[in-house]
Amino acid sequence: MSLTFNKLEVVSEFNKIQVRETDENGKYWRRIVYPDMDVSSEVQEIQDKAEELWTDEVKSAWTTHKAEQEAKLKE
Amino acid sequence: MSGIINSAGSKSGIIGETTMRYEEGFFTPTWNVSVSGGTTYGYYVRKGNEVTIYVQWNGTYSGSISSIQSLPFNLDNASAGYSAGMTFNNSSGTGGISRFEDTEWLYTGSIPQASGNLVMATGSYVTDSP
Repeated sequence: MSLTFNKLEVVSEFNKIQVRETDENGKYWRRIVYPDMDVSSEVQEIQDKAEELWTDEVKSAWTTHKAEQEAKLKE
Repeated sequence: MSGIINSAGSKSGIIGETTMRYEEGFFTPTWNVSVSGGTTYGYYVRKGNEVTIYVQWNGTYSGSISSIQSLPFNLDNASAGYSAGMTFNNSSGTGGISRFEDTEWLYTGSIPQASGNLVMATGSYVTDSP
């Protein structure tokens, strides 16, 4: 299956990038790209948005948030 | 409210229409355990800010499933923990209470590995995405 980039949306205070793609049949596929992810294999639009929004401060805040969430879930 | 009311006072067009976002599509769920083989299937329907997801998977895994990750839309954290329901089905049994937390859909127990695994789940949550 081949997916083609369709659009992106930026969500939450952590600037997560919500991605919509389409397959050969025109069906939508969704996924979220998080600030700790490697975007080097993503399309240029996503790389550019990540570069623009994912400052060190945002990445650090996301990492801290994730760690807090994981700790909370283990309680 | 939208619509057209002409000079004679009769109504035409659409009165009281509320535009609601609707979208349906697919996503690829991931799990908290190592999986191999099988077919993973994730389908979503979004109506307004409510997202309902359907997940099915029939592969082999080690450990016990306790969460589904890679949601199609961001979870509104204000609704975390409140807006979920989930049923797992496999040869070990069915049922369960669950909740959404940030990036994950959590099962309060765990689904043990079993032969003939078929994991199916459906649930709804609220998204804060545009």
